[in-house]
This record gives sequence, structure tokens and C-alpha cells, in this order.
Amino acid sequence: MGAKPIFSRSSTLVVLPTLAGTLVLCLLAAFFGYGKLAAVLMFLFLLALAARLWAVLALRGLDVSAAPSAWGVFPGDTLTIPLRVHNGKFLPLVWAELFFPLSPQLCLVPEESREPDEREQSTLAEDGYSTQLVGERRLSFLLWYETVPLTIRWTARRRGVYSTAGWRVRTGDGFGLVQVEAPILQGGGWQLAVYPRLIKVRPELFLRNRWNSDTGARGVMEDPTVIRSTRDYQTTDSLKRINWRLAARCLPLTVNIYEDILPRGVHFLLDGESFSGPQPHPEELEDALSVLASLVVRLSALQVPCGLSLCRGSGGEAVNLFAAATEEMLFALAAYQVCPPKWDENGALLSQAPIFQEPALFEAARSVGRFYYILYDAARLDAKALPHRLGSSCTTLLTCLWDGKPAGEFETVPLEQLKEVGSNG
Amino acid sequence: MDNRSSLLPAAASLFATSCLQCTLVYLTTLNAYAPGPYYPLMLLPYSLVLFAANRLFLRRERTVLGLVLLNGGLSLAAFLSVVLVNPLPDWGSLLFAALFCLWLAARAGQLAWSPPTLFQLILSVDLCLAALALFTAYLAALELPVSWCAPIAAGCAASILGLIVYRSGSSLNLKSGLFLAAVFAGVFAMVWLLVGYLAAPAGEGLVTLWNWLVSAVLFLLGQLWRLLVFLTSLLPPAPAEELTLEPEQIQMPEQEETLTQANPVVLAAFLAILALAALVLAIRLALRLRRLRLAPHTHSVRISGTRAGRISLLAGLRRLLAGLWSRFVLRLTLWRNRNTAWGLYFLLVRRSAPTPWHKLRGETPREFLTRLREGAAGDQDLAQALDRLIPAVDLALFSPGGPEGELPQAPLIRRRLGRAMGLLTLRQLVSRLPGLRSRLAGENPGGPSPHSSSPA
Repeated sequence: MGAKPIFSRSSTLVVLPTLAGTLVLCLLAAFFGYGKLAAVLMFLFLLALAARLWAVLALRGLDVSAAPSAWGVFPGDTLTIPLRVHNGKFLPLVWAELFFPLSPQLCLVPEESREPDEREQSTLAEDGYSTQLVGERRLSFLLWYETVPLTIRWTARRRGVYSTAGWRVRTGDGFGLVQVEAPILQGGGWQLAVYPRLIKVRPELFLRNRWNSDTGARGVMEDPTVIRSTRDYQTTDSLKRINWRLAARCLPLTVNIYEDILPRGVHFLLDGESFSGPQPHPEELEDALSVLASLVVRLSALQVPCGLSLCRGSGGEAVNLFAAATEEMLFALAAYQVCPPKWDENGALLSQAPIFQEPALFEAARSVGRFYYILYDAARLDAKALPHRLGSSCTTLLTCLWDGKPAGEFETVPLEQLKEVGSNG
Repeated sequence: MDNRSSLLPAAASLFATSCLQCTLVYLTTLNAYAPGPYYPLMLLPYSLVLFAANRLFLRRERTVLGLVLLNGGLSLAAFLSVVLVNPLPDWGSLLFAALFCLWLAARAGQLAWSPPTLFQLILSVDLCLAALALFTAYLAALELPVSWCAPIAAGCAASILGLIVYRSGSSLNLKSGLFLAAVFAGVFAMVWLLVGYLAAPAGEGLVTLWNWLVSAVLFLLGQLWRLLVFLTSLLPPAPAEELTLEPEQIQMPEQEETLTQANPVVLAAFLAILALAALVLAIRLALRLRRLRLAPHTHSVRISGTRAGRISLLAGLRRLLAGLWSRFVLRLTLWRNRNTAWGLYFLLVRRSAPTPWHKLRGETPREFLTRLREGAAGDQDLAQALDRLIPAVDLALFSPGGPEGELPQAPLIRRRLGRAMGLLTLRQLVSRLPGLRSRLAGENPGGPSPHSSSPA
């Protein structure tokens, strides 16, 4: 452990002013002839000093390493994180504790957890962790140079991103008077994602304009006017591909490799702020995220290029993902949370407009076949600027709430229609 | 933490509370009379009986009313035993005895249901240790034997034991118990050594120091007084008129004491109403408590890691000695090569490790030495010596078969660098003081870091 030890949850006796005071009182007692009192005070002083030194020495050479088995799971899954605790010194540790603060949404919960006491709750709240549960694993008597392998199973409860930056190893003296702690993972730890729950979806809506999208070449075509490269002829090659110009020059038979024309992809735009405001709809948002995640996974399996844009949320700036990996998009969906609520002067909740990174969107619009704008209620479309700027010809609205009336010239599809019959969120 | 491992901390916490109460009784009574053999010592076994009874009672599902009745009954029995076996001389002592019996019963009920928190255990330890010191001082002042400290000493031991078991999350076995006992014995031995052999000479030295200090202070005060007298002698004399004031004699009028006599009928009626209200309240409380149910204790299985990586004590000692030997060899090598370029470089890295100008992670040797050179810019000789050192270190570390000869400026660098960097740190601290002051007042200015290479 290279980090500086932090003293916490320790006895008042071991605090430096108390140590100094005890020593002074001991000397005064000895000076005024109270031998037995001086002996007791000296005992307390030495006990506290020994405890303090012991605690600092206990943390040295203590190494905890961890490597998760996966970086992303789905709700209901179990994630196994093997840990290795190594005492790299001769001094044995009477006790050690691995402390795992949890995210406020409790998206990932370890098998051993407890409720924090009142003092811990204030610290956890200040650091932005959950005050309902904390994860903990205790070890007793780590001998000289001993290594203890541990496996901690975490259960994914709901969508979210869990950061391991708050993981701590705590140890101290054998009397339990002093506790020192240090972070386990240097450099901010890692982030584990619980992706939105996958459900069965129908991707036909997204494959309408793609030739052979569901079979064969999956919509990818070759451009016969652009030769990318050539290679030697093989007996299985078609005669139509032979480069006859080179053959006419008595060179060995070669075949042409043409440039691929990739089909235009689909791009999803999630207007998360339409699900919040004076009347928030958190369950509908989770449902929409499940549908979106399921579509991304399904379309990626069909080799349809997908993109994703999320409006600005509580995490910071808006997100644009063009031709990104499926895991990256799922991570962005796992991490998305709506902006914190805002109130007006009268104390009423305000609706917040979604903020996208529009310049990047318009720049990438050429390679996007169609945009799919996801919002809660299509009747509120007039308040949304981005779909109008993108244009109704290349934008489809996917909405939770739809009364059947057309939303201007936009094609509107309810999210329920994208689910397969019998699929549960 | 499962219920099995919370048993000892809970029992220890309750026992420590009883020891504190016992000591409190001693504190309030020893100056007047010696307490009897039964009370307050009976509080110690009484607390353990309470704990055991509550634990056994809550093995099955019970109501809160049942728990209250059990603890109420036990505390009443304990109080009656005190009244009958060891009658107390005054009402105050009786009241405190009743309060202590009730307090322990309530605490036992609480601890049997929910384990103590870490904060409660730490508080218990702190209170016991503070009470030990306070009571020892009290006994010393009254010149009473130290054996009266036995209960509070037991309380200290119990509270520390409870804390150890809580922290480790499991019961102590023989090996761990022996280890802790050995550490305790070591601390006792140090105390005995200090008090038995060093206290007297230290005390004499302390007396001498004290006398010197007193003489020095008196001397200074004497000099100050002389200066004051001299300065006042320079002032012009005061005018001849003198005003004399006689203090007035003020007499307070005597207050007339009037006694009011209470009407006995009204008093009786008031007491009856109070008793009725108390009875109604008690019945309502009992009915409410009857509805609250307590689930029985369950023992959860605790999963622990495998302990395959343990080595024997001998192997551990061998590794420790190997580590110490390698450190010694390293130090010897560095000392032998202290005048070569590479040896001096590693010596500087080692020496600067605990200081603010230590080598940063990822910093190259050239960058590190350049930073030192900028910090030592005020000392021309040192700066020139470091200028010659930098290329020599590059050659020594990175060119194969580089020169191994001694640097003539190495002793100068070793001698002067620490002082130069210390002065630089002091200057940086002084320059950051205005920023620190304004930050305390609520602003956030930026300040230079110890690693910034600002020229001296």
C-alpha cells in the first residue's frame, strides 16, 4: 500500500493531543510523588503509542489486488470478483477489513453487506455513496507473508454504473484502538456496468430500407467501379472477377477485390428529459432504455451499424457514439441518469430541455440512414428542436405515450410495438 | 457480522458498563465509608446473568412486552437483593442502585437484540480507560489501596477484548490470544521498567529542570520590574492633592422568611391523579409492546477465504532476515559508491524520498536532477556541481560500459543539497501563506506545489 494511511474510527486515546496530555499528566504525577497514578498514566500512554505505531506498521506491505471476471452484466446476473490479500511483512495482522461502499442506486450489491451506522452514514452521504448498505469482508489473523485468495460475488440488481474508486482496506493494531485505511485500487479504480435489461424486440422497422439486411450479405454491397486490391486467382473464384487487363499482359491470373458499400446505419437519440420534469416517469424511462439496449444488441448481431446519442444528464455532457462497439453503447445506457431536478421561484418542478451535441450529429448525418428519436410523449414534439432540424424525412419518433394522432409529418411508432409479443421488461 | 461473533462484544460491552457503574459508586462513597462486599460488586455478575438470560429468552420469537417483563423482573430482584443483603445508608444511594440495575437491564435487552456498533465499543473502551486513570488519581489522593481499581481494570480488559473480537469478526483462538497476551505483557514490562528504574532519575531531572525554569522566570520578572521602576522614575511626580474615598457600608435588608404549608387533602388528590395517570400509561404501553414481536436469532453461515498461503514461523523469520540483509547490502553498496555518479544519484533519490522534493513517479533522472538544480540556484557552487552531475548520471545509467570513476563534486553535493532544498521549501511555504490565509477566509487561490521548479 503506497498511499498515506488515513486514521479513522479510532479511540480518542490514540489521538496526538490526548497522547501528549497523558504524557504530561504522567510526568506531573511522577513529579508530585503519585507513583501508582504515574504508572497507570504511563501504561495508557504506552498502550496508545504502541497501538498507533502498530497500526501504521500494519498497513505497510499490505497489498490487495483484484480483477473482475467481467466489466458489464445484466440485472439478475452474478459477477465474481477474485481478490488477493497479501501481507508482505513479518508483522502479522490481527484483523483486516475490505470495505466496499455501494452506489446510491444499489445497482451492484456484494454477498456480504450490512447497514452502516449513523456515523458512517454522514460520511457516505458526503462522498455520494449509498447510506442503506455497505459491503464488507473481514479477515482475521493474517500471518507473516501470508496470501489469502478471496472471491466475492456481486449481484446486479438494477441498471447503473458502479465505481470501485471507494474501495478501502482497513486494518489497525491488535487491540482495535486504531484503524488506518487506504484505497485498494490506485488511480480511481474501475467502473462496472449493469446494462439495461434485455427483452425480445422486433427489428423489422429498422431493416426496411436495407437490401438483404436479414440474410446473406446483410446489406453490404460491392462497388464494381472501385477496385480496392487484387489477389491471386483461386479455383473457387468467379470468372467475372478475373482482372483481364493483367491477364492480357501475360501476367498470372488475378482477381479483383472491390470496395464495399456499407449500408447506412441507424442512429438513436434518447430524449431522457422528456421522462422527467414535474411528472417524472422513471419506470417508463427504464423500459425505454431496455427496449433501446435490446435493439442495439439485436441490430448489432444483424450487422447493422448503430449509433447512439444521449442528451445531457447528471453525469455531465451529452454523449455521441458513432459506429461504436455494442459494449460502449450499453455502457452509455447503463450510466445515463436524468439531470437533477430544478425548481422555480414558487417551488414547482421545471421541465428541462434536452441538450444534445448537435454539431457532431449534423456532421455524421450523411452516414446515417435514419434517425430514431425516443421520447415519452409525441404530443410534446413541438417543444423539441432537434427532430425538426433533422427533418421528418429521415427521423422516426419512438414514443411511450401515443394517442394515435400523427405528430406533424413525423413517422411515429410506439415503443410497445417494438416489443415481441409476450416479452416482459 | 453474524450473531456468533457479536456475542462476545455485546457481553463485553455490558460487563464494561457494569464495571463503570461499580467504579462510579466507589468514587462517590469511598471518601465517606467503605462499601459493603455485596454492592456494588454484584453489578458485575448481575450484568452477565442479564445477558445470558436475554439471549436464552430471545432464542424463540417473543414480544417486546415479554422482554420488558423479563428485564424488569431481573432488575427488581437485583435491587431487592441489594436492599436485603447490603442495606444502603441513604436514599440517594438506593436511588442510584435502582437506576443502575434498571440501566443494565435495559442495555442487556438492547444488546441481546442488536449487536453493539463500533462507535459504542470504542466509547466503552475510552470511558473505561479514562475512568481507570481518574479513579487511580482519586485513590492516590485519598491514600487508599489500588485494589479498589480491580473492577475498572476488568472493565478495561473486557472492553478491549470486545473491540478486538468485533474488529476481527471472529472469535479469538489460542494462538491469537497468546499473541495479544504477549503484547500486553510487553507493555506492562515497559511500564515496570520505566516506573521502577527510570522514574526516580527522571523525576530528579525534572525537579532540576523545574528549578532552573523557575529561576529563569524570576530573573526575567526581576529585570522587567527594574525597567518599569526606571521608566516610572522618569515621569513627572503626581500632584499634591490626594482624594480619599471611604468605602460605604451597604447593608442588605434581611428577608422575612414565610413558610407556606401545603393542604394535605389537595396533595393526596394530586398524588392519586398522578398514580392513576401512570397506571393508565403503563397499561397502554404494555398493550403496545405486546403487539411488537421479536424474531428468534438466526445463525448465518460465514464464508471465509482459504488459508493455503500460510508459511511457518521459521520460514517467515528467514524471509524477514533476507529482507533485512538485502536492505543492509543495498545501503552498504550505496555508501561504497557514494562518490560515483550513479551512486550519488540513487543516494539523492533515497534521501529525498521522505521530503517534499522527492522523485516523482515517471520522472526521468535528468528531470529529477534538473529540478534539484533549479531549486539550488541560490548556491552557485552547488548549481555548478549539479550541472556536471546531470550528464554524468545519464552516461552512467544509460550508456553501456559508462565511466565508473568518482566525481570530485560528490561530497559538496551531499553536504549542501539538503540545506538548499530546505531553504527552498521554506521560501515556498512563506510565499503560499497569503494564499492559505485567503483560503481560510473563503477564497480558493492557487499556490505553487513543492514539486514546481521555481528558481530560488
